[in-house]
Amino acid sequence: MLKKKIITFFATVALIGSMMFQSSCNFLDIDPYVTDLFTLDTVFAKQEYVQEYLNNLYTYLVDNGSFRGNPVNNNITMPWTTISDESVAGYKRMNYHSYAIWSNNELTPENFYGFDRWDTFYEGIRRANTFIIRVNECQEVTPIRRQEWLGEAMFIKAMCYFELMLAWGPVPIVPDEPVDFDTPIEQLMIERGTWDECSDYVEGLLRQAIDLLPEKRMDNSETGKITKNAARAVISRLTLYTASPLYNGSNSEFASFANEEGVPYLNPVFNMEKWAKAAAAAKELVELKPNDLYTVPALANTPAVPVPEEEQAGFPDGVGGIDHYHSYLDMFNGECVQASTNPEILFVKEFSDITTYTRYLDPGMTDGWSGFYFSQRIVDQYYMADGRNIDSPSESYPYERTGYTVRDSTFSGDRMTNGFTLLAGTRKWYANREIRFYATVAFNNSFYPSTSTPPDKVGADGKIARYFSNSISGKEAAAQRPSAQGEEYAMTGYLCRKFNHYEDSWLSNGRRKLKYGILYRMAEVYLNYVEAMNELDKSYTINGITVSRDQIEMKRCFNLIRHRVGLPGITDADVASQTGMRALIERERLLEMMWEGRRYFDTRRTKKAMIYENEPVMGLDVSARTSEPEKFYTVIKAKERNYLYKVFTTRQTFWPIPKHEIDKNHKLDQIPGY
Amino acid sequence: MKKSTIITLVIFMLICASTFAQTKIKVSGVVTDPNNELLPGVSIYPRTNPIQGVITNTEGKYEISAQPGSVLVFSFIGFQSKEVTIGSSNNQIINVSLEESTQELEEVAVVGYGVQRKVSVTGAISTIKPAELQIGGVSSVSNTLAGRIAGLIGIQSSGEPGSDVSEFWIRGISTFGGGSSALVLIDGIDRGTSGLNDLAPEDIESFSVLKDATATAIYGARGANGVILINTKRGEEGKIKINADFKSGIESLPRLPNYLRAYDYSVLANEAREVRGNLPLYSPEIFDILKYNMDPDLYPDVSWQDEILRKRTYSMQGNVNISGGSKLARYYMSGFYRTNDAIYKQTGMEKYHSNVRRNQYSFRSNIDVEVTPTTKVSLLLSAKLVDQNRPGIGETQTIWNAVANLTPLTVPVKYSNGLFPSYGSGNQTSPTVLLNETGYLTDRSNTIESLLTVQQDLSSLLKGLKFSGSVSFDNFNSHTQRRFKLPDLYMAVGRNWQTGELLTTKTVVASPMAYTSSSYGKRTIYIETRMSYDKTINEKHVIGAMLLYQQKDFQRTDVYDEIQAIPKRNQGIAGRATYSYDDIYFIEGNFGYNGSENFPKGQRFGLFPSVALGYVVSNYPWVKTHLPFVNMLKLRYSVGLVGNDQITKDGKDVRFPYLTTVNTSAPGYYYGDVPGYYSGVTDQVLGSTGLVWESALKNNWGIDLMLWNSVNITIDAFMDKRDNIFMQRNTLPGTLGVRSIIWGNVGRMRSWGSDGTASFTKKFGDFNVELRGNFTFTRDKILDYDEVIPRYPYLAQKGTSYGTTRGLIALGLFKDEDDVKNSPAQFGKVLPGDIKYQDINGDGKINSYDIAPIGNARIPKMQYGFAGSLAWKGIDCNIFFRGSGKSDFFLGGAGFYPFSGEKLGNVLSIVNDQKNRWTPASYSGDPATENPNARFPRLTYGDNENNNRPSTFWLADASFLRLKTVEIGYTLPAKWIDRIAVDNLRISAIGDNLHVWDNVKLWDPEQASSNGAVYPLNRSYTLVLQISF
Repeated sequence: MLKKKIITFFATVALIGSMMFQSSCNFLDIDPYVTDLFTLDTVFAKQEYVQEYLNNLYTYLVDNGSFRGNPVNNNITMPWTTISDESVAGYKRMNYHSYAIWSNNELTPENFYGFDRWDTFYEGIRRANTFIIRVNECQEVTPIRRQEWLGEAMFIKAMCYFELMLAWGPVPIVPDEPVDFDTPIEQLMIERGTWDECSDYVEGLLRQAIDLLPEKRMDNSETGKITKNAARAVISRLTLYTASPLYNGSNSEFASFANEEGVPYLNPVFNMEKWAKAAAAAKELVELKPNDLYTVPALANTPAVPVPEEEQAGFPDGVGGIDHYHSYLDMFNGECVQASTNPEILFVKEFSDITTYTRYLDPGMTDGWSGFYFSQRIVDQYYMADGRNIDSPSESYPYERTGYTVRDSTFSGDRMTNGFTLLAGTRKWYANREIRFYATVAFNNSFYPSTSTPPDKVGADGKIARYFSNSISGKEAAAQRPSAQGEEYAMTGYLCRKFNHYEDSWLSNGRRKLKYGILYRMAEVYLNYVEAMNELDKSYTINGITVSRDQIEMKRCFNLIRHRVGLPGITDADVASQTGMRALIERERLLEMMWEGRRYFDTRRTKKAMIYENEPVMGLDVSARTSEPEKFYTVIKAKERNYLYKVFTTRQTFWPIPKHEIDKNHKLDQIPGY
Repeated sequence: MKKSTIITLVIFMLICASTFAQTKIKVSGVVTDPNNELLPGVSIYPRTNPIQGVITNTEGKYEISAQPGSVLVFSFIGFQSKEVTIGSSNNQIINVSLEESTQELEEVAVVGYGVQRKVSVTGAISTIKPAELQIGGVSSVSNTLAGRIAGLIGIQSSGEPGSDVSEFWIRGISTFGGGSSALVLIDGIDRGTSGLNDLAPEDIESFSVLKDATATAIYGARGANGVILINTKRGEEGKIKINADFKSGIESLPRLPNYLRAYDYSVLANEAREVRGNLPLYSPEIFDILKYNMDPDLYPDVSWQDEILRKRTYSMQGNVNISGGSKLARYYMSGFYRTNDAIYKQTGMEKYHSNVRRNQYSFRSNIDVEVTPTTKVSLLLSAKLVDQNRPGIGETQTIWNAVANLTPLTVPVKYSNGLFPSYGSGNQTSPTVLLNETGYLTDRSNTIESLLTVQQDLSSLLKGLKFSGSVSFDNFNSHTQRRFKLPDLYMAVGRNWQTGELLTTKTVVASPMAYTSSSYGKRTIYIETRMSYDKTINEKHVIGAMLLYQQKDFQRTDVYDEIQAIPKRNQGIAGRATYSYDDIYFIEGNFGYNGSENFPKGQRFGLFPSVALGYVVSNYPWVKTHLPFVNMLKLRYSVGLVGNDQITKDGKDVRFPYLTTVNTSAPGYYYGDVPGYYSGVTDQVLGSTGLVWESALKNNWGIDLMLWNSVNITIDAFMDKRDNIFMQRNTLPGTLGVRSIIWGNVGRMRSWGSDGTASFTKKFGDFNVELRGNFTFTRDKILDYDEVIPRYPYLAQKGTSYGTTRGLIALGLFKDEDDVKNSPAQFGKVLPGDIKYQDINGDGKINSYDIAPIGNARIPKMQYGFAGSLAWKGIDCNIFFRGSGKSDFFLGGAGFYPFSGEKLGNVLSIVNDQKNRWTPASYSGDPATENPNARFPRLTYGDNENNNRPSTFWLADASFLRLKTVEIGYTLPAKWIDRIAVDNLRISAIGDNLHVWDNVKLWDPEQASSNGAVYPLNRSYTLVLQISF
């Protein structure tokens, strides 16, 4: 009996014991749970997920169409327009509305108020690297498809570096391989490369991408994806910047900005070849797309433009056959609905924040937020309709400082829809100006069709933006706005309407036309080309492309821009003068690409920021009430807020490296002055 | 390995099956105690064959058959065993009288996975007599630990039923990375601190705290923070025993913040405004209204504490246990309940039976059955129900914040027109509304804990060999139901100047009753098998060995992502080998080899060895003869490695830090002329490779001394070096492009200190005197911390003690305008009478660079306790003090900084005392009021950005000495109670938390509250009745 019990007991123990040991070897194994989990292995095995990973990489592309630190629609933003001299920001808050902190030279490495993208871009680079290393694991697709993907990732990686360079100048180039986090910290501290190293590195990435990317996207549902031309456009911009004085010899103020071996981060010796390279990069695209600017055929009331007889031919040879107002404006305000139908676009962001954030541009009477303005200097840069300056107008298109227009005039469409109406009672100095002026600047007494405004919401000012202190879009109404600090009115007397569609209204039940954000367009490339050629002293051959100061080509390319907006072209005499051309190019870039984010870099790379950003910010006296129009139209130093000024010192050429980074990596050299 | 194990086991079976028989003779007799009382339940067995034993019946008689000439052992708990050699004749009668023993029970100590003879213990182990855990009010066992056990640091932060438990750490906190809490094992199973909190003190058989490496290494990766071992009571052979303990207590709140009432408040508010150049807030007419309480709507005078708190509350606790059994089966069964009512004054809640309280009911059944003479099966079961009620707002902390926030004249209890008041929402609502008008919440939880153990004596195979196997599963379920509502709340804004009618504005819109519920569960399965071997050779060499396998699986259902939901598992083997020579030299080796699923394959297991030496000087014959008063002198040393696998962040477990996870709802992108959204995936958390165990190298030096059989002293000194501490990497440059949390084994910390106990026990005639004392003293230093090297060395964590209080250094109050002018720039506009800070870095500004370590951490680094007990005949008396030191915290916040919230925030009455505050002579007309040593600076109406920030000015010293308990008991003489068939009857009264000596004085220093907005610690008077049958 006893024996049996003991035997039974031990048999049981033996059984349990053996079962336990059997199972115990795998007891800690979590593979059964983890293998079914979503891991990066899963991602790179399947076509759909690789595509989704790539979609996420696209979110690291900066959106030109946003002005504030906290973006919507997964976009990344940089404040290039709002902190440069092309605009004046009405906000100085300790949050994403911090623009004046930059303008007032109060930025410190401690706080970038939502615009600190250092870590973000490096995160994009790391994720792109992961993609580049692993994309070939996906065997579900053809090698050609993988090549395309690889090209897209290389492009995005290059863009992350380029954006870092734009903000911080020369930056560290990190290894492609993933880093083991146990590596001693010293080895993880990477110093800045020089600007030229960075530039060459990024150009190299883009050249590789060009080899891999498709020439065109076949399907309209793929508009916005990267193509060869997008990469070429980036190279054009990059090489132009690298050739510019700041990075090419004229940087004695940064002489002390050098690495441990004493190599200056900015190239101190002028090298003409860089201009040749920039010219060649632009020429590559110009040859592919010799005349590709966006145009809209002439309408019944397209105004006749005062250009010489020989320039009256049909576009692209002259100004004929197109409506200049719409040819320019419709790219930006959403009227040209399909980006794929616009041959000028090289790279576009289909769902830009611009649709949401035009509210910061629009006047109070459509419930816009009126946060950014033009200074009088920028307004005065716009040509008269016949291409003259305001201080030397012709008799037929006079510039009159006093008086008001007596009748409404509408052109390029209907008054209530797509046309532009210059209202009666408009100060005369706004009459007789070039088309881009009307497409861009919303001066006092501007008419906004805002067709989606419900009739019952139309206020006392109707659909007219008036900036008198007591107007709907003026200072007193702004003070009444909820949750604002009373900054939301045109503090200089000007708003921007370049991105406003005639339907747009922010009043309740109003609508906004969907707009895409253009990142690269041909107009810039033509101007890049002209600018680079203008500097050349002889003929250069770069990568098989020969460039020289070809005056015929310079004039042709420059005049494409002029003719599209109905302005007379430049003459052979203009082209003959190198310094004259520099001024013309700078001004044309400003006017053509107003508020597209280029100006910040143009003033810095050409060393003009010291001049422009130290000029007083002038505007109209918006403290004047309706009854004091003459007071209103006096040009004064902007005084609505004490921070409405700009200062430029050398250190503002680049942003300081954020404190959190420089503390962790003591091999990083801070920008002198911070 | 698997096969060989099976074969070995089969061989065991065959061998131990061989038993043999022989002719036996019959022996009988009676067993008595020294007073000639008959002893039932005494075990009698042949020394060579213990399994053939019998026990005496209720009349103390026994009968046994044994081999002629063999030795019979008579053993009974509480008595010294006696051995008698029997003759060869049949039917012998042997009557035995047993001597009482006071020593024998204490001679064993509970250690990890077993018991050891006390003399052979080489580790640092503190024990507490279970009876001591019963001395206290009706509250959790955890609240009786601090100050009673050397090496344990404990603090209680709240007195509210349900939260009135203590947090505790063994030898302080010695890691800043993962968890720092001790491993709590109840009957060998990890049941956590909640298991300890809810344990009936009467059910505890033994309570040990394992502190050093030799005691804890056997737990390997779980033992680095120390181990608490609790065994519950088992049945003992003998007649049925019934014990009943009842406690009934009255609780009150000895210390509440003392706030100013309306009139004094308004006078001081005017001062606060006028001394900074503002217009006074209250006019003389309003002073009169307030003084005579003429307008209770607009100018009320409410003491919110009186409105929501009763003077006293009641609590009850009871335990009835039945134990007994025979040689074959023994049982211990108990039932326990505890109910604690909160002291809130609630009205209108009776209809829901939902006053704030906590009720606990639990059962326990521990059964041991001798299935065969060599096989014992034990089944330990316990079940527990806990019901808790709270107001519908959920957290009562909101009520305490509201009490600190609402001044006597902010709003009345109720407006005269019947409307409920509120200044704002949340903690600006009237406390009575929060307590009574927000519906209610119930938390119900139940726990089942079980443990089945089979023990097999394999002496027939190899003498001294034992096997045991255990399976345990624990299950916990919790359901929370909340019925939340809120009435419309109003604030008075004035009166209609014509009609005098009260004008109100609605501050909070009513919410109708809304029901929500949630539930979750936890489940643990634990399996363990163990082999042990003990042998004595030549009476001098004692060898012991133990080898064990264990695995645990823990799962909880309140985690909702696929990674967190993976069961937590660990497994391991552990072993111990001991050798001693002549009870003088001892050596012990332990190891744990553990694995956890939290680490990558190949790095899952860690080996944690330890070794200890013991040297019992007092067992030398020379010492025994020449120094007879030295009963015991033992020197101990141990060193070993122990691990910690807890990684937590913000109180949540960090799982699989080596895994890279994917975010499947990452931002995507829009493509197409008609923009279409295409979703994105990307990496979410990047795994860090090379993660290993956090490990502690522990050294312990100890001495045990016993003199004149009455003085016991144990002192231990320790030095821990914690290595590979898990922490989030803070120094990875941004250029790595890693924005997620990366873990690394990058921290190092050293902690050291000492703990000890001393006791004195002596009998003087009828008096039994016992004095006890213990202390714990710890220090620590962070050796490595992954931090960006700060601009000034004093800003660094590295080199300081963990949790060091940091703040500005106050130099006092500014004397005059010149003093302000000649001092570095501070915060905002500073006037004489404001706090002057030290510019540590000398840059002429006071800013974040001037924040330096200025005090100890919140968790005390020193605790001590001392107790005395005196017994005289039936009367006994116990007194217990406990203290705590080396702990600091900041005072501040609403209810402390006077008028910092303008119309919100009570003002402490100490502010009203002119000597406590700085008032400019220009206001008071008396230069003496510009007191440079005032406790409060120049008053400010509204927040003062200069004064109201952490600095030495507001640093409070949390050290205290508490008269924790006093007990007076009376045991009725046996002759009185025999008649009612009662074995023992004792009544006693316990006073708990009777007095505190401290520096804070505003509220209890142990709670370390910045503004006193906490449920205070109770004072209780408890009546205890203990009966046993």
